[in-house]
Amino acid sequence: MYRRKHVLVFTLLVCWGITSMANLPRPRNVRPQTLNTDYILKWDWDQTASSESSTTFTAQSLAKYKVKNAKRKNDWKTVCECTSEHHCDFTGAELYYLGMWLLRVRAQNESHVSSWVQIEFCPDRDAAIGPPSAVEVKPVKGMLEVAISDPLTSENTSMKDWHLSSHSILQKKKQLVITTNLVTLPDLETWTVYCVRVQSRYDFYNKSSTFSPIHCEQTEGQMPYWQIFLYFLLSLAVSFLLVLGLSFCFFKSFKAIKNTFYPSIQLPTHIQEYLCDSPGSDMPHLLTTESEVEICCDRLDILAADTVATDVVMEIHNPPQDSEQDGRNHIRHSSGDSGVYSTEEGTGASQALKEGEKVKLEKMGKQPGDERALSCSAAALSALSHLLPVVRKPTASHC
Amino acid sequence: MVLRRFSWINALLCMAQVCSVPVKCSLQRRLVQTCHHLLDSMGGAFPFRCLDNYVLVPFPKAAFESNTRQETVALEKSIYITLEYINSMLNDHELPDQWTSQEKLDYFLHIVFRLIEENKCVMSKTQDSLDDFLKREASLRAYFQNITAVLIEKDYQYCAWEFARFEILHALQFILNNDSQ
Repeated sequence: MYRRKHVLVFTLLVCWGITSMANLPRPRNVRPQTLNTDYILKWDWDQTASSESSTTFTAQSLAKYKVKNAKRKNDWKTVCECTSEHHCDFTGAELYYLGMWLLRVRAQNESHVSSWVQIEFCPDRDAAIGPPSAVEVKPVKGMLEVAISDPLTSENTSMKDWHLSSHSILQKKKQLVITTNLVTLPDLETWTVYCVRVQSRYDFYNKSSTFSPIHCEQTEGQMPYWQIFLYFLLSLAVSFLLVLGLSFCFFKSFKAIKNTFYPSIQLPTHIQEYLCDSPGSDMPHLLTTESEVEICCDRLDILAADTVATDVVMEIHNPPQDSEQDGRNHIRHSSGDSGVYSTEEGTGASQALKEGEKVKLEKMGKQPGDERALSCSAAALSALSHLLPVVRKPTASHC
Repeated sequence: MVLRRFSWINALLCMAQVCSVPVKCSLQRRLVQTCHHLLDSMGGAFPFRCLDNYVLVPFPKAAFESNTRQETVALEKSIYITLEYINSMLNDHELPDQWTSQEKLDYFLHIVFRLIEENKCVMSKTQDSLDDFLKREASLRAYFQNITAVLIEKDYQYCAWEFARFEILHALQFILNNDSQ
């Protein structure tokens, strides 16, 4: 009786101690969220359950075979410590895929801790498998060849390293289950579009993944004769139009080049020669390149007819030879003339008179030796009378 | 009111037991194959220097034979018992450092434990002949006791453990060969 009381009191004390220490509520709904070898442990937590806002969580793992080993049963490995999140990523915890594990989580704050919530987890049995990492469909000889890539682990290795999986190919309403990664879909109609999607399966534990994206491809086959003929006609028409277009372009460009460099309209011969500027040409030139051209204009006074009859004095000079004649303007009528000039008054006038030939017409009548001078002067006067109607009396003699 | 709630809870628990997801009660060959591969690659061939420690222990072939369909249950139980003995041998004693430094030993222990945990239902199967099962169990018990005796005699040295590894590999290989037939 006395002993029973002791046991009862001790039990009550222990329970009270545990309760006082673990008065923080435990995380609820602890469950793993998995895909291939990605494992995330999630839980729910009611924030109002704790008066303090700084509640954190600790998550650990342990190989289940160690539980019955007295020395190793406490070899818990902490994966997430004092995390404020409501989940813990066990992907990097190196959980052996074929093994059995114990995962546990608890809540704690500055003054209290909750009791552990523990679940059993076997990735091979409990982890979901993902769809194939890649699916390729291509037409081959009237059939469709489907190439399937295995789902991948978090380290990009094939999931087939862990378990033998099969693939389920769904095409229209037909389902084909295969264990290989390459399959050819038989019994297909030619020139028909087929859509295919693939799913991974692990039949021992009745696991299946979601379907891959749909891939549509058209089968090939022998082309109908009318289609061959139609393509032939089309190619013929296109070739014809192409050749026609090229020929037209070639013809137009040839014509343009020909008109540019070899025009059909030719210039008159004399103009051609003029433009060519042949030295042996008989055409009169306004200007010659042989000698420097100087335009000398001298002052010319034209008197009235009645006054001209008395004294008309003209001077005929040879073309000036030096720079002193720059101030003068000479007018040379023609190379055939005898060189009749009408000069203005200049400083070198006396010099010119000395150098030049001086012809003096004192009267209108002819004198021996003066025929040449008279004809020149008469011609000059007639020309000038047409040009300059202004007349005034002669001033000083230019002699 | 409390009694009613208690009754409903009990009923639910019973339903959960009865209508639980059916567990496949069969040993997975690929797991046994993986066990063999891991144990084999842990140390390679039997060390030459340990030949002096080798003791000839008769292997209980009869425990793994199944000539008829009725003996299949007995064979499954023999395999299960063998796994239990292996698990017990490797977990209850200190293993050599050459083994514990490898991850393969850890993986091996994982799979052996899982095979035992997931196939407890095998032992609840009924076989046609109880005597046959008892004979098989006795031969297996004697076999693993002989191996344990060698370990004790050799003071759990490395060569003694290599001898034990050699015998376990032989047993697993025999199981796989017999299963394929």
